[in-house]
Amino acid sequence: MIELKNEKVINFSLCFIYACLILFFTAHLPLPFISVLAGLCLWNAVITAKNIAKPNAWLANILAAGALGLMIFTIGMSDTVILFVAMLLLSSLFKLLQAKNKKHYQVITTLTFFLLSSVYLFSQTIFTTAVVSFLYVINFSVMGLLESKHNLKISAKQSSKLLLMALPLAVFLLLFLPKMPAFWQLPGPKLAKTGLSEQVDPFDIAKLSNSDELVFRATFNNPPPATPYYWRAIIHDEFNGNAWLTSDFLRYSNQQTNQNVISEKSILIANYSVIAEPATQKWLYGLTYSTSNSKNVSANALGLLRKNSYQAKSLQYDVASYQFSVDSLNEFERNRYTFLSLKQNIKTNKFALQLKEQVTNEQAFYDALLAYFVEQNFTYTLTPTPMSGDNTLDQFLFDNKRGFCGHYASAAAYIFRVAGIPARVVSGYLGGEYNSDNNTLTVRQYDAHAWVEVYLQNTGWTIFDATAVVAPERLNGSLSQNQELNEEFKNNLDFGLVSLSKFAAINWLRLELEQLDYQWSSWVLGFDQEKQNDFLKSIFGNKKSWMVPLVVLITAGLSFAIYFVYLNWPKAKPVKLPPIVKAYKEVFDWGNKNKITLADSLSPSQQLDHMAKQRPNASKELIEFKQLFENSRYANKPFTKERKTKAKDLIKLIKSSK
Amino acid sequence: MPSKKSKRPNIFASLKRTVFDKFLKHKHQKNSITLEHNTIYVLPSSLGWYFIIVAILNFVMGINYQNNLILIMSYLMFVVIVLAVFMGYSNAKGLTVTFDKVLPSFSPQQPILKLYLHSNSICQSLSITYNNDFKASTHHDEISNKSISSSLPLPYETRGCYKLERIKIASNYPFGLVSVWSYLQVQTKTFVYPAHEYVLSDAHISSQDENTQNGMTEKSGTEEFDNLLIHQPEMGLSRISWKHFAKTKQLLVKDFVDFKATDALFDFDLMSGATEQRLSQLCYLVCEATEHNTPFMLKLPSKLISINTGQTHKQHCLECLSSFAGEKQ
Repeated sequence: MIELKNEKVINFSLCFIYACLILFFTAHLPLPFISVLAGLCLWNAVITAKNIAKPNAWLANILAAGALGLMIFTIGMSDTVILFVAMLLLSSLFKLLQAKNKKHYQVITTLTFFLLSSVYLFSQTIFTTAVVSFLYVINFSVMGLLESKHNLKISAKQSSKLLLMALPLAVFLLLFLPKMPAFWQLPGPKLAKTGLSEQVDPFDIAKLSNSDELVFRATFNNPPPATPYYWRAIIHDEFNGNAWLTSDFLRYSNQQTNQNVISEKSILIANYSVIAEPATQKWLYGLTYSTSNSKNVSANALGLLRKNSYQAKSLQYDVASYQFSVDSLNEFERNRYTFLSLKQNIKTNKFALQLKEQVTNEQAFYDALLAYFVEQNFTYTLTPTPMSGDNTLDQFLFDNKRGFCGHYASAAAYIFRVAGIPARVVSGYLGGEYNSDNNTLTVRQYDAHAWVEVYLQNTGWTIFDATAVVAPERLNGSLSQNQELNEEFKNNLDFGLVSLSKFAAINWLRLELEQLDYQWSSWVLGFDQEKQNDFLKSIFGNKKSWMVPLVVLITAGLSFAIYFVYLNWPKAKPVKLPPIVKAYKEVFDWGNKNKITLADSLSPSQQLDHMAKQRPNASKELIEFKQLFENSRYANKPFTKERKTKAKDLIKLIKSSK
Repeated sequence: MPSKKSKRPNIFASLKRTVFDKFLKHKHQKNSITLEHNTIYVLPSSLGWYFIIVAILNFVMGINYQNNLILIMSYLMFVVIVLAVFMGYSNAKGLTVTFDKVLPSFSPQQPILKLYLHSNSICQSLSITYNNDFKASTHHDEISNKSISSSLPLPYETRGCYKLERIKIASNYPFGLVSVWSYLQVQTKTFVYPAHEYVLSDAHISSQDENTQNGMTEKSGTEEFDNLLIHQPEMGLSRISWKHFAKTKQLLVKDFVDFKATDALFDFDLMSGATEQRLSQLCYLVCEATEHNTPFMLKLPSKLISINTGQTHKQHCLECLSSFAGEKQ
């Protein structure tokens, strides 16, 4: 067995890699467990720095058992993916703490390769990719250090060289190797995120819109349709006294059974494709009545889109959105959408019935209710007063009169139902930031919105959004572009680039990054089977089926062959010149440039003499340099550091002479 | 730890060995080998196999989560291992290993194998192992076109004659991902001589001459001063001891003798103790006698080595002692 020569560097590098990994997983693992991991990492760094022996097996095993217990206790067994990552992290760190010989370290480096790729399960941003790639190079260097006695710098250089050479071929393989469907269904990692929820219960919320996390991007194929964009995600059809929920009925029996739902009469609003960010929920986003032909996506009878499988990765799908049909509701549906099990908001009930008596038809009721919200000076706020009790709607409508979309939607839907008009609450996103360069709309978590859809006779499902009249600016564009609410909005936002968007430069930078990020998710992350098919078809046309394997084989074989030839090509070894000779060459080149040198047959000393004669301004320096050269070359005097700097200074003086 | 390790791969090791013995017998039976395409063997090392397994796991993960970034990591790992195989091969190519000699040893010291290494291009991280015994191995970080000598202690400590086993020349360059190796099968033997055991030399010398002094014959000669004789006229002046003349005014002549060593016979049967002990004693006697330039004869139960002296004789006798198999031969 060869002894390890760089154990210290190896330990530090691995500690660094694991520290980065721990930092990354901080958001996904419980704090006590993270502190245990950080402690282990730190412990190893300290004993390496202080040359203390590694802890013995008994102690380490007991500690490992304890940490394992803590892990299961704090993480639980429900999320298998994060549990698996946690276990891998823990075991690698304990192995590192006990590692003594080459074999141990080799096991750790291979495990690290796996851990590094598991980072991508949780995040696939450009930043994450850059960091992981960097750690990847370091891990390779550690592997190189285990084998040779070079230092980290040389090893890192070698491994980056190798990886850079391998990368083009790997990219090529990704592009051309036919993508396989998933072998089997794996549990997706559960990402902790804010955003929509299955129930709309606005009354206990005091703070909202605090996340500028990206939700999805939509790219329109044609000029975008008219604003506002109501991105529907969830329909809530059941009121439980305080909150609007999705009933089990709606959840399980809304399969799109009738293929004729999209009839020829349906009016197409827009065609677009959406890249949805990784999320563990199944719902997706679409305008009005949406259908999709993409794989992995299904549309239901309500015109909502759902993922076919839980996959925590970004998903790209194409949508065609149509206007709602005007077909009348059947008796059962009508009952469902007007049903209220609890009518405890007495004032609201009274108000709704009074309003109904004043108007003649449903459309008039709709208009009257909108007018009511305007006349009564309702205001929009992101920091509402929390309300409690059985009659929260009464409190909101008649006392507070301040609220955000959830309040208005809850109240309006309730009023409609009391009046016997079918209504449901829809949550999703409103608007988005439109970028005309790529015809793309970016929707973020703070664009979350809730509104009401009412069924009006002869018109069909119609959007009723009280927010639209209370804060009309909210309808067009994103919250970030809304002047009036801007201040309040930014105060609410966690620190981020959006919160600094009043500085022009930062706003520009933000938009550029946005653009880059868009390209990244669209081209790198979103490169799926369909895109690959299109890509291959565009290159090979119909010969795809037999050309692809051929091209892959030939290219891979050829690049390996080229590499092999390159490796075995007899290389001219660079001749190592003594430093003083290099310095002389520099002076000689200068002389050549100024045409004061003679033919090559002269010795360096003669040449320098000649130059000194030709250039009297620099003659003193040239003679001095000649002496230095002779001393070092012929008098066997060592070329010390002082002489080296002297030579450098002389060259500078010679060159600057006129 | 080593016992645990050595147990497991036994079946594989023996299988591997028979396979290799069958196929490689002749190719490597030389005293010098230059590593070329038909003498270099390349496979992923154990770390390399782990690496491949992780690459496969990454691939499965990438496919199942339809994650391009994980997939590209996996492809990268596959490409890297292929490149590493090429790098490893090119690294070892052109290396020449030449057998120099084996220095025999006295038990319990180990004999030492000497090799010359030299390479056209730079060869990094080379280890030379004797007979798959990692205790008998040396490591060189870099071998260039300057020939260097490498010595390897062979794992033999007990007396005997050993045929040299296969020498494995291996490198795990680069990154330890691949193992590139070749063999050198030198057709020679080495000896581990018996240990020295001190024994009084007088007792075992069968003297054949009367006029002896400690078993050695005196003959008038020129080497060693013996005594002073009264000067006789025919003796000449060259050997007169002038010191004595100055003191005593008496002419004395210095007489010199050559201690011509007595022919000795070292007999196995005359030694005492068990066989190994007897051999050790004989070994000591042989060495002593050679040092004193005494011609000797070595008698073993099965063999008689006729009288002689000098280094070759000594070596021959020691080799006989080393390869002595038993009394009944």
